[in-house]
Order: sequence, then C-alpha cells, then structure tokens
Amino acid sequence: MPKSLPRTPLLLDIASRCVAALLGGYVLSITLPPLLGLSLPVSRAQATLTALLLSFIVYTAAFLWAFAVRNHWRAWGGLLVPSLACGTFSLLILSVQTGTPA
Amino acid sequence: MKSGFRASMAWLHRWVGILFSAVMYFIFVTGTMGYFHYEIDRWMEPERPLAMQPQAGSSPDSSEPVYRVPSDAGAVEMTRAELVQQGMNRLNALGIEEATWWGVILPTERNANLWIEWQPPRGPEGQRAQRQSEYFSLDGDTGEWLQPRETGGGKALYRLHWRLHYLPETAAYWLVGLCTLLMLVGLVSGVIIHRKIFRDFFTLRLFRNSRSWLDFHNITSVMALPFQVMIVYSGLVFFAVTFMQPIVTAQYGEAGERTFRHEAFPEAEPAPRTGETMPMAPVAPLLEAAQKETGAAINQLYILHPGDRNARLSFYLHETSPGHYQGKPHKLLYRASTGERLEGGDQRYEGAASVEKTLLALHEGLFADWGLRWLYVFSGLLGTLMIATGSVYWLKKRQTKNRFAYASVERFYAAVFVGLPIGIAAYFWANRLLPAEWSGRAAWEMHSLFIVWGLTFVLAWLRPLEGLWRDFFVLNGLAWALLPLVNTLTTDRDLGASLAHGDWVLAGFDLTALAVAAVFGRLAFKTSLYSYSWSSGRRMAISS
Repeated sequence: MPKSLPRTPLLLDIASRCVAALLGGYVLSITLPPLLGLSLPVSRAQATLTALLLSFIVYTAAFLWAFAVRNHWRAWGGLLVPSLACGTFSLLILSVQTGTPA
Repeated sequence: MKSGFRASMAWLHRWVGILFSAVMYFIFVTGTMGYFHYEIDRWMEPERPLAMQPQAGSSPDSSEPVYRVPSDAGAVEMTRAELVQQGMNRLNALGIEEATWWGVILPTERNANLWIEWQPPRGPEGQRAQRQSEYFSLDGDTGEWLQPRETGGGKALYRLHWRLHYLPETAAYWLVGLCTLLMLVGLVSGVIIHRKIFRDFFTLRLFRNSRSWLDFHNITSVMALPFQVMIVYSGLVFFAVTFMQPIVTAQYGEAGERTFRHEAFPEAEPAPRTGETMPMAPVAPLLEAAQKETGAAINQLYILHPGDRNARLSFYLHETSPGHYQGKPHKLLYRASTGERLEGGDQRYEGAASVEKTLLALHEGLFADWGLRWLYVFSGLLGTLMIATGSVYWLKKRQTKNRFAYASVERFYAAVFVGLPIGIAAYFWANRLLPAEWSGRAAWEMHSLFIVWGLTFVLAWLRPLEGLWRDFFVLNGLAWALLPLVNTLTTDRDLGASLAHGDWVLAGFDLTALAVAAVFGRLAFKTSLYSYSWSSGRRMAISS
C-alpha cells in the first residue's frame, strides 16, 4: 500500500472492515470453495456439498483476515481479488463442463 | 484499531463478545436444554402414564422383550408384540385411513411410553395439518388412550435456539446464522489471543480480582473447546443451503435446490397412494423377524398411506444405533399389504454427504446414551459459562477503578445471564398453573417465559447495583426449588410417585430442578457473604 494514501479515520476504517468481513467474506466463501469442489474428481453433487461444507471455514478465515491486516484497503483487496479470480475460474470450468459459452 | 496480529484479534474477540454475547447465550442455553427435550416433554405432559420399563433381564434388543406397564393394580407384563398390537388396534379403530401416515412408538428409556401418531392429510388449500398423538395407559382396566395437555414441551424450548420467537422465520435464521458465524470467529480469535493455553489451563485465581473472571473464562472455554468448535461449525452446516444458496445455484440453476438434494442425498421415491384399499398384513410377526435380523432395538414403526394398495411399512432402529453415524435412522421397508420386504429402506451416504450427515448427527447428539448425553449437557453449560464469564470479565475490568462505571451494562448482563433461567422456570410453572384444558396454554407457556424474562430487566433497573446479582440468584433458587412442589400440588406425577415407581426420567426432571436451585442458592450465599468482592474484586466479608 503506497504511503501517500491519506489515513482513514478510525471509525470509518472499522466500518469499512466490518462490511469487508461480512460482504467480502461472503463473496469469497461462495467463490473459493466451489473452485476447490470443482477441482476434485467427484460428481457435481459431491462437489457442491464439499463447497458448502468448506464455505463456513473460508468465511471465518476471511472474517479474521479483514481485521488482522494493516488497513481496510488491504482487507477489501485481499478478499475481492481472490474472489474475482476464483469466481471466474469456477464459471469457466462450469461452462466447459456444460458445453455452453461463459 | 490496534496494530499487531494478536492485538487486532483481541479487539475483534472483545467486540464480537460485547455485541453478540446476549443472543449467543440465549442460543446456548436453549440449545443445551434440547438434549433433554424428550425428558422435558414427559414432565410437561403429566397425563402420560409412568414409565413402561423393560422387564429385568429382557433388553429391548432381544427378540421378544417384555415390558412392565404400570396400572392401578400394580405393574402388568406385556410383550412388545402386545404393545404393537394395542397401537395398531387403536389406529384401526380411529377410522383415520385418510391420514398420510400412522406411527407406533414403543417405550424407550427416554420416552418411556407407548404412543401412536398420525399425520392428517393437508387441508383443501394445501396447508399442513397438525400431527396428532395419543398415549396408551393401563390405568383403566382394559387400557385406554389419552391425549395429554396441550404444551410446547421440551421441543418448543429447543426450537428457540434456531427459530427464536416472535421473529419472522427468515429474520430468525439470518440472525442465528450470523451469531453462529461470529461465535466461530470468537472461538478462533480466542485461541489466537490465548498465548499460554496450557499453562493457563492450570491457573485458577478465584475471588481475587477481575483476573479471576479471565481465568474462569479461559478454563470454561478450553475445557470444552473441541465441543464448542464442533457444535458451532455443525450448527452452521444446518444452514448451509440457505446461506450459501449461490454455491448451489451456480451448479444447478435458479430452481435447482430440489435436484441438488435429490442427487446429494438419494432417497427412494415414496410410492404414491393408489386410492385402492387393501387390508394390511399383521405387523407383529414382521417386527419379530426384523428384530432377529438386525439384532438392534427397533422402537418405531410407521405406515405410509395406511390401508392403501401401496401402503409402506417401515421399522426404525433405535436412535442410539451406530447407524446414525451414517445419517438418518436406519429403517427396514416393507409392502404393508403383503409383508414383502422392499429395497431402499436403508440410507447410506457417501463422501461429503456422509460427512454432512455425521456433522448433523453430532450436533443433535443422535447416538448419545445417558453418559454421553450428560456430557453434551455439561459441555453446553460450559459454553454458556464461557459466554457469561467473558462478558463479566470485560465489565469487571472496566470497573476496577470505578465500581459504578458501566452500570447499565451490568444491569443488562444480570438480566440476560441470570434472568433467562428465571424465565425458563416460569415456562415450567406456566405448564402446571395454566388450566389443563385451555386451548391457548401452549402459546402462553412461551409468553410466560418472555414476560418473566422481560420483568427481570425491569427489576434489574429498579434494584440497587450492589445486591443485584444476589437478588437474581435468590429468585432463581426459589423459582427452581419450588418447581417440584408446584408439581406435587398440581399433578399426581410428583417426586414421591416417580421415585416409588423407579421412573428415573420423570424423577430426573424434579431432581435436576432441585440441583439447579442448589447451585443458585450457593451462588446467592456466596454473593451475600462476599458481596463487595463479587462486585469490586476486593475481598471483604460483610456478613458479620
């Protein structure tokens, strides 16, 4: 994070982290586990169920992450960038599997 | 927000606790009571006969167990076949062939009675009708069937821990789900900030200062930590499809939940009702053969579409059977008209599905016998103590300089943590004091809980801070100690009767109430003796 960014006031920083934890964490927990599920050589029901079971572990870790990192920009970045990557990959794999363009 | 990993985790742990401890405490208390919901049901339905127990030397998994059934003339011996026949005769005599299903439930250690259940068909607009049940009693000469008073019972109490009350279903689910997730966040962050987890485990500095509350919080947390992680995580798994809907939608499309469930948990499609009547084969010989085959106790039988050509009979194995590790109760399936054995009764799950079912079974303690069941309850109680002591520690630390700082928070905590048990006692009082025939009683039992709990908040703000906790302990002691007395005055299922009959489940409720009263009495005594130390952390006996 560049030093030139203005410091966020404390309350705003906390509020931003809370939203990042709840929403960003949610987005990560519905994108990362499905990718893990899809990468397993199992049926789609098993893959979905595996993802469902892992999602709360990812959510918890994401929640802690949002409050552990140095500033709230990092919290958002660390949650949304992997979400975007995982989500894209998952959709790609799904579209290849079902034979329809993404 | 402080810098440093541990410091920020401590900050998170603290705020999650401050904001959500009250709801989490409510969920933990009501959920813990759920492990005894059958037993609480029995106490709250005092019209039910005393326990029908397997004859000594005859266990329920032998092929022809004999039960001692209490009656006016002393215990009568009945075989299981006779009990099942009683149930089937009654179901046939009721003229309820249109019911969706019939059930006969045999006495177990926990349920201790023979009863029948049936599900009336849906109404004209598809609304679900309430399940009906009748209990068998030998108090008349030939045996009679009775319906106990209307009550929410242990089940309504247990439902509170995910459905709350007065809130719309969706709101309750999301609130409980959020709290459960934050509970997991609290547990993990708690472990992270707890540096000396082993050394502190052996450290208990009682009645010294605010540090004692931290020790108490640590010891109650660490002692049952695996249980807390299991119970919270598996609790989330119940909500998985609801909360993580997009994961299912991505694979199955917008309306794909049904397809997903069907694929993940394959179940035999129930045969439809044909509308063609056909008499049913006798049940007792089939049961005897099934018992021989499985070697495990069978305690429930259900008939789908009774009297129809497609009627299906299933025997369910006792819930402590190890089959529950695999998920749903194992059952044996038959064509009811011919007694022909059918495939598809047994449900076996694979991979993630068996993990999911195991987690749910663990959460519900499906397989737990008495010892393990009590261990579940004690672990749950440790969880409630973990939440309460953590909150009180936070408060006491802020009151070390000024005893009266955060007074409103202290009043709030007193009403939440020690007021809730008074409300629960009121729920049981209401069960005995509301007229037995009144149709609104089940709803008002629950209203009583929340009205009395609400009143404890009023009391918390009216009483001086110094004696507040003691007042609440005394009220709890009285409310719980008098419960067996109220029972004696209003029913003939009192402690004397249950003990004389050796009905330990029914007696267990009254005895547990007395034990709870004793604990609160002890706390009341302690707080009056050291009332100053309780509140300020300095030891000062003011009793003399």
